[in-house]
Amino acid sequence: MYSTEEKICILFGQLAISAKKFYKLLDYFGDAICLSREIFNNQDAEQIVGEEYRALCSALKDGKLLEQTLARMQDNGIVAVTCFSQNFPSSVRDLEDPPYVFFCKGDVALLNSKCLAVVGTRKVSSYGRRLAKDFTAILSENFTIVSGLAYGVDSIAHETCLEHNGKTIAVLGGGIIKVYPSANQQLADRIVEQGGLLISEYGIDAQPAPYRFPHRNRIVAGLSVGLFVCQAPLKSGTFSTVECALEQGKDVFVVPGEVYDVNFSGSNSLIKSMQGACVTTPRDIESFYHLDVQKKQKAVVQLSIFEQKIVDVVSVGKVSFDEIVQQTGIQPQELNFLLANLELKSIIARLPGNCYRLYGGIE
Amino acid sequence: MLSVIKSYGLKGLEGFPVQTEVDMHSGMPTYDIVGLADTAVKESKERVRSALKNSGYNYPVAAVVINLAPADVKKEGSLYDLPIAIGMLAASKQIPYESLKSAVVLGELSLNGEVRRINGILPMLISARQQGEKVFVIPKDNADEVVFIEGAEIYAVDTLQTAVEFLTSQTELSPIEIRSWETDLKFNHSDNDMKYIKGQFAAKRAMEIAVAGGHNILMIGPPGAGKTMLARAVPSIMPNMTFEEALEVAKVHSIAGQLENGFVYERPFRTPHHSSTMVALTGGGNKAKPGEISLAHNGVLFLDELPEYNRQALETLRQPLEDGVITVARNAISITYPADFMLIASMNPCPCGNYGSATSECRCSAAQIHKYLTKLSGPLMDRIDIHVEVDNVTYYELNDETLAEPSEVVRDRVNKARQIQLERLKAKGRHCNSQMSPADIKKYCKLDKECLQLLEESFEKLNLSARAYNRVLKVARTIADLEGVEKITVKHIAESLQYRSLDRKYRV
Repeated sequence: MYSTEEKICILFGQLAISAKKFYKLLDYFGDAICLSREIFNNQDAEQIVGEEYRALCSALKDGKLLEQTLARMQDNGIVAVTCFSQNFPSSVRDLEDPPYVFFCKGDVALLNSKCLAVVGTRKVSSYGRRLAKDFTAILSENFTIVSGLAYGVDSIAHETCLEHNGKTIAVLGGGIIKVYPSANQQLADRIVEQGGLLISEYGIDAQPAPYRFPHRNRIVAGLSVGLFVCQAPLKSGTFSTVECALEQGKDVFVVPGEVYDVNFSGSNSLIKSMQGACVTTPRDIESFYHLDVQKKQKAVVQLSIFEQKIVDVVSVGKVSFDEIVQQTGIQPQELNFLLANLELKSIIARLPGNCYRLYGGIE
Repeated sequence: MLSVIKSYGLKGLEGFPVQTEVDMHSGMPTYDIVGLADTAVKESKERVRSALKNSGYNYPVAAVVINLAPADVKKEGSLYDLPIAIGMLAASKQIPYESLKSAVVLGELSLNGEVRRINGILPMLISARQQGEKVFVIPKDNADEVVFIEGAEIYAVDTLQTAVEFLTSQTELSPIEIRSWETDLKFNHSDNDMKYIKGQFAAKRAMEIAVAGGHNILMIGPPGAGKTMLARAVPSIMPNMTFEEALEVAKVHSIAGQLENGFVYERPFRTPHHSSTMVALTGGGNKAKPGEISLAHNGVLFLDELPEYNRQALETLRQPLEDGVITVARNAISITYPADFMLIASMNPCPCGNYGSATSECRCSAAQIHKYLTKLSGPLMDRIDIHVEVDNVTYYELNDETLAEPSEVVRDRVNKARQIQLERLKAKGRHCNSQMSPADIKKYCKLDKECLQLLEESFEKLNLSARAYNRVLKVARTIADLEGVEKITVKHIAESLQYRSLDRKYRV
């Protein structure tokens, strides 16, 4: 199954020893096997590891924790991909602070596929939601979509990707057995079921500590060739991912937002500093990577006179039910039926607050 | 000498006869009440003494024993003052006992001999009437409550003296004029008429459907959108109460001492505050009084800011929402009160109230919104058929001088739809679509192929949960009834689908 080196990585990962410490130890001892033999009663090693040193030594000595962890990984369908594994993604290996182990659940092959990260705020507006949906829907045709399984844009990206039978990777900021936020457990299960992948560099039942989320963002960026920023305020988790991507020299794509909207302050400032980053359709990203752009023919739908009236009103942007009543003169009881029909035909979409807009629409 | 005066007591909504026996014998002047009397009854001593004295009678210098029979049932309240006082006059031979008229006597006394109003007179008199009593002497202030009791001879008195003079046939009183229900319908919804609500077409339509089918409804919208105003207009479009309904309502209100206009003519509209405790909502306390949900019987219970209510209090609504009754059990008694109300609830889309709003910015985090929405339990939400989103009215709409459709017109449509439902469900003892059981739904909500296809598509496309299925059918049935057609068509299903906004997964 796992080689000795890999087992050491798994044990270190389960004990939540940081990547920095691990690589330092590796440097000090030369290789992992040496490390596991000579770490005991070594003052330098103790200094590097710090307070976890004792626990580490005793775990290395008796091997119980490793056995337990391996058994539990097997029970939960988790596999580990370590820096000693062949399929450890090279893109991550070159990071400044590279992880040494990934606990994975799902299709591990995705780690080496062509990935694109979709990130954005947890507090997504209806515009941001629409962006995330429309962009992910098209980008998932050509990329494995990487995101962080948080609320907001992350969840929408994963969900949309699954809806369109795309591949997706969720990089977790906590243990893989109980995902955080727990409300997204179902989504996580679906990702695994539908051939996606969950990965985490932390122990299989690590607690979701606040510092881990910005930390895992380097992996979100690292796995991907580029980063699509859907909606980002300045000083946010999203923005920390953007910074990681820029440091790593990845391509960043940003959509402009309203200048008054705080939730777009990060996005807009990015555009200001690097104008090349600005995209307005997913096709912009595809053509950047010289991908075949296949435009799908839209089916022509016959609309009744009333339906056309509604579509005309709604085409302006977000319109409330009352406004449609006033501008079309259609009775509420009739309008409800017409709106439901148009929604089913995917011509309009309903928004919170009983408002409507045209469906999709970026090409 | 011994005297016995008839009176009545109340257990839950049912009255029971109480014999007020007064006996006197020589000895140290004492005043003892036996027969499980509560403090209010025991304190009658001082009221009776002063009232007798101040009405020109003598307080007997004797050992007085009063027994309230049956002796093993608890008696509560101040209503035995008047029968005790009259019994004492008879027992002390100040008035002739043998020639006293036979009547059920109820009333509280003030120190100067006036007769004061009491609570619960309506259910007592109804029970007494059913048990064959015919003549009643009651406080004048309670007279309005009992004008609909058929076949009763009710005499309203304002002082002890009048009561005594009437019972001893010294003066003649004319009984309260008994009215019949139909001639007495009076409605005054002038302030809360639908016609004053500007805009809000979607919400008004949803309200009409909700009332027509007796569906519970939840309004979701930012603060100031007019949710409360909409809710307040609902009684104005509800069908008129039948006499039986009104009587049930009046009984409950009589017990709670909340009959302000003498009788209940309009459907009640109750708005308990969100700090209300479980007992305040369901009823209880050491006297097992009816709570807000029973006071809202046959009317509307409006819960503003639904997620702010105590979770435990909300969960207790589940049983009454299903059964239409609530059983309040206390250490000695267990009373079943009616609680068949229409629930109107309102909530903000998020803690700050602006999520999804076109005009204001939402300041809540995703987790906050999520937490806010999950405060409502699934089983409770299962009992709410219609969700409607209400948005702020624009200035343009507010400034519009034209009045909207008046409540009367809407009520006519509602009445017609209710009639259809009553005919259909009468056999099963149900009267509106919201009460349909799964078997009824299967029987009366038959769908053709087209409808089934639409439902299937929409469940996938609109991201509806399975929970929504039966609700969509029930509401579609009501929409069809409002239109007066027997067959549910695609149109009805499609509209019904619009009222499941909380089931949609477009939220955080």
